[in-house]
Amino acid sequence: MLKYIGNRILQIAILLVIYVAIVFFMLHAMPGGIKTLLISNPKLTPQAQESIIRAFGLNQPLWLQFVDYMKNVFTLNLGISFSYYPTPVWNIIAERLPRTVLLFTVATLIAFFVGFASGKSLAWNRGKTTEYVSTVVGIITYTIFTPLLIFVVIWFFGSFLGIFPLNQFLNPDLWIHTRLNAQVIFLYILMTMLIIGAVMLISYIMALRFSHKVMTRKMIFYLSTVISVVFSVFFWWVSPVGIYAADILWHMVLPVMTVTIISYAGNMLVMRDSMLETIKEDFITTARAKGLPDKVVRDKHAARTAMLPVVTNFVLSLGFVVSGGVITESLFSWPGMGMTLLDSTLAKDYPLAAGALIFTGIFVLIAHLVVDIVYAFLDPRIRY
Amino acid sequence: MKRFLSLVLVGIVVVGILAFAGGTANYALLSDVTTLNIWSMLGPNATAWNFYPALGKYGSLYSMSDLTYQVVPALADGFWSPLEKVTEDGTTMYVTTVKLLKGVTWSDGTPFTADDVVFSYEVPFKLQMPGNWMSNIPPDLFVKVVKVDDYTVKFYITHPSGNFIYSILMSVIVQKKFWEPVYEAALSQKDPAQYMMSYDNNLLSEPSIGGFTVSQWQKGAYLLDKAIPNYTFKGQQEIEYANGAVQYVIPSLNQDNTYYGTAEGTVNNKFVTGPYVDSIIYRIYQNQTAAVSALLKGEVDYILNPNGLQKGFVQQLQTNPNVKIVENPSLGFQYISFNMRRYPMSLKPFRVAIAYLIDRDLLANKILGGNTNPLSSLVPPGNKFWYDPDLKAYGEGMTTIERYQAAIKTLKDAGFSWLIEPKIQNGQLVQRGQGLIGPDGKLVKQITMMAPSAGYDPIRSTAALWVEKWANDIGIPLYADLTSFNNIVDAVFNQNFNFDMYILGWGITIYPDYIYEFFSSDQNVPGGFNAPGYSNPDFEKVAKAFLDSTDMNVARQYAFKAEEYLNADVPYIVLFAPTVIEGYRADKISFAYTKCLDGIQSGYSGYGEPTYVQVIQ
Repeated sequence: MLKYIGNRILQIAILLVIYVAIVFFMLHAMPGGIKTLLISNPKLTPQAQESIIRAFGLNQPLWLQFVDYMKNVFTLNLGISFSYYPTPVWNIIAERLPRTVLLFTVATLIAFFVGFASGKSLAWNRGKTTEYVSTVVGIITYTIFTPLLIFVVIWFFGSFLGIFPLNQFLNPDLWIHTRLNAQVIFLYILMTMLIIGAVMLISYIMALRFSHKVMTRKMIFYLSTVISVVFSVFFWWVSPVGIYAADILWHMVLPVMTVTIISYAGNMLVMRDSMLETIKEDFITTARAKGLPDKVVRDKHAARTAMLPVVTNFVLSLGFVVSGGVITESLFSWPGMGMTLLDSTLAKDYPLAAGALIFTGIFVLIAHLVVDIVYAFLDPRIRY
Repeated sequence: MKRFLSLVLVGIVVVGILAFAGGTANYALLSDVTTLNIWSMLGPNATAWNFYPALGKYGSLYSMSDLTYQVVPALADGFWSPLEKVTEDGTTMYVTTVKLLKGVTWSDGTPFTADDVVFSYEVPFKLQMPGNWMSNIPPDLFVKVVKVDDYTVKFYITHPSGNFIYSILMSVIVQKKFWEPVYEAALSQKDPAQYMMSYDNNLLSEPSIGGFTVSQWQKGAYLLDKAIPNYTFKGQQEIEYANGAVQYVIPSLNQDNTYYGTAEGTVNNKFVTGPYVDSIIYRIYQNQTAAVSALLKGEVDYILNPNGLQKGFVQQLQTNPNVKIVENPSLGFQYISFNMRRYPMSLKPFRVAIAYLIDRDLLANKILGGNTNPLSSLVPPGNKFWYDPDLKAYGEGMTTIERYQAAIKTLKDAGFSWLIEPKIQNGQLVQRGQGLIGPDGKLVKQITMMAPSAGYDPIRSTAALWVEKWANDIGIPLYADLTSFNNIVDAVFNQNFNFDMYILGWGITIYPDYIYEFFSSDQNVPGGFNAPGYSNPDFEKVAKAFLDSTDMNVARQYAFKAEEYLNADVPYIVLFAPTVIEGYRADKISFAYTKCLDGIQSGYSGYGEPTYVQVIQ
């Protein structure tokens, strides 16, 4: 296994070099350039334009720019952004990343669990009306035009009912009375989620180690989870900054709801199809013949095998979380990595666009590796 | 006595108005601010989004009056002295003295003095700050600025130039006390300019000389501008007379000055400077739809956007009776350019024939449904001082058939002919022309006119198709190539003028130095502004004289003459001045004026009139 991981890491490194090179040349191949933007401003004299181009290092030959860029990337220096000159690209990514990670991780997690549970249930209730209705609804939500859904959601919940904010990630009327940086609150929320996740993982492992009884294991796991969640909520409740975190989470409801509606059906349909295949297997018939309860056959035997493709989807989705979603972020005015990528590409901000793409690429490549490792745990037949 | 009484009366009115001040105005921005660092803001980060909330905290020696756009003193006390020629160390220069207003203070109580002025010019000039700094303080014009005493400075320039007034004297003034330690640290760095531009410690505590200061910035969410309680110019009255005079009364400094005439007769406009609000929140949205929804819901009172609102939102906004829609011509124009380096665009009759064919009024008012403003001169009518009302475009007032006839005659007189000549009978084009033959006897090959595609700009793409049609009707083999904006700019400016004709647009300035910049021979270089390749020594002479004049009345006459040459030679055919559409909540805020060149959002209106806006209590 370790040898396999070592080989994969080497492959990732090689892929990354190729990916970075492709990203660099693709961005520079786009028609126009920073000069295109500068030339359209007649207030900037040619001398003034040249001074900006020199400051950006764009007066050098392309091959030299490429060499410098590769050198910088592999010394973890993503360069200086043109449109936020002279802010380093890292600083901009560090600012935007928590907003994107929080929103899309929560949405992806919810979409996974909803999709997994509903897909499992649908396959088990094959032929019933609920199955048909749920499948049709799922396909509609999966294929719906995303901006249309977002407009409807914003209009209905934000404007018509007026119960959720229309957009943005915080309410300025609340925040103008504090000197708190929203970035800090995002990081605290993410940390809280990480802690809860860590508690869940540890309690799961402990439960497996210390008891053979399913009920005991479940009790350890769920109790630990509930305690960690309650404690977190209590901590935020008594904290003076809790209200600001609540404000951010309140603003997250609509975008998370929208992303979940769009994404859950993909997981649901994959899980459903996978379950339908698994149910036909002999070992399921054997399990039933043994007189095991339906729920046990469904959850412990069928779903556990059927979930492999869904887990693949899920882990890969987590990798793509860092790239955000341009449409979601734009329409909900949630400035994250997706908007960063779009804006930087349109502004010919090569370092920032390349930095955002490279970041996404690294995470996706790592996600692929994680999928392979997770597979080995989920499917004992797979060994490296 | 009469004057004293009227001052007292006005003072009472001012106090009365200010007594009802207060509240918070909410403006929407459609993109995040990228920096609060003034060096970067006027350098590579010069965007309207940065200017809107942050530029107002700085001052300048001179600025422009509201609505009449006349140069008036701001931090200066009166106008500059006449330029005198001097020689220092064998170098000939021109020097002028500028006196500074006494009693002006920064928001931290520090007095504004000559030290701030000298510092504000020395730093960007010595460090060769890129971008707008270099345009505002051009190295080929600015030599130095010297402190004479705390309230007097002398400017040294290489030659007289209108840019001295509109660029140098209007350059931004920063506080020396705040920035000097940063500058000293920068001097020991490898790249001092980058150090200055990247400084971001305590920028929120940088003192302001304007009516507001940025007090909070939640990146990606909002900025909060707070009113400065001790703003020196609070209560200043600006009175604009019909005779052209502009009067400024500054109660806090005991100043009452009138420029460009005498303060008598009909008053056209009167403004009293606030701030009238306690604060302005600039809420950041990522797209117009979100901002429009917020405006309708009442979350914001006004949307700031340099391009205005898209026409499609107007109907939606009109469903709310509290939303007022304002339309103004933008400070810019859209135009066709010829590449005079190529045949047959190099022939004046050919260009004149195309000019005859273009019916701007028909295009703008009928075909484009009034969504743009027809414009035939390089200077829009709203720029009253520099606009020449006597300039007439080719074909003005003609019908379509008359235009065809004029164009055909022009081509014929120049020696053009056709394989099939266009025929007009009984006021109708009964035979379309085909196969245009040049004076050299050769068939004219297809001429490509690049224009933005409909997805980018439906107005210019529609105009391009109609110009193509009119040209084809009389046998000119014109093809409208609708393509991406980047492709056009790339072909024109990056590929060394690789085009026949194109349609683009310019955002321009009040001071029309672009009349020179766009057509001078020294800009006829790769990447230069003279895309047509225009070269006319007579034009060059008057355009240079215009640029070198520091007496604006003299400069204006030269500018008019230069425009006459351009109008006759047609290197450009100016088509339209786009409309800036804006919307605001008339039940929540009011502005001092809404009819102005380039809209309320314009820099000439202070970027949303922050010192005039009032919250309706």
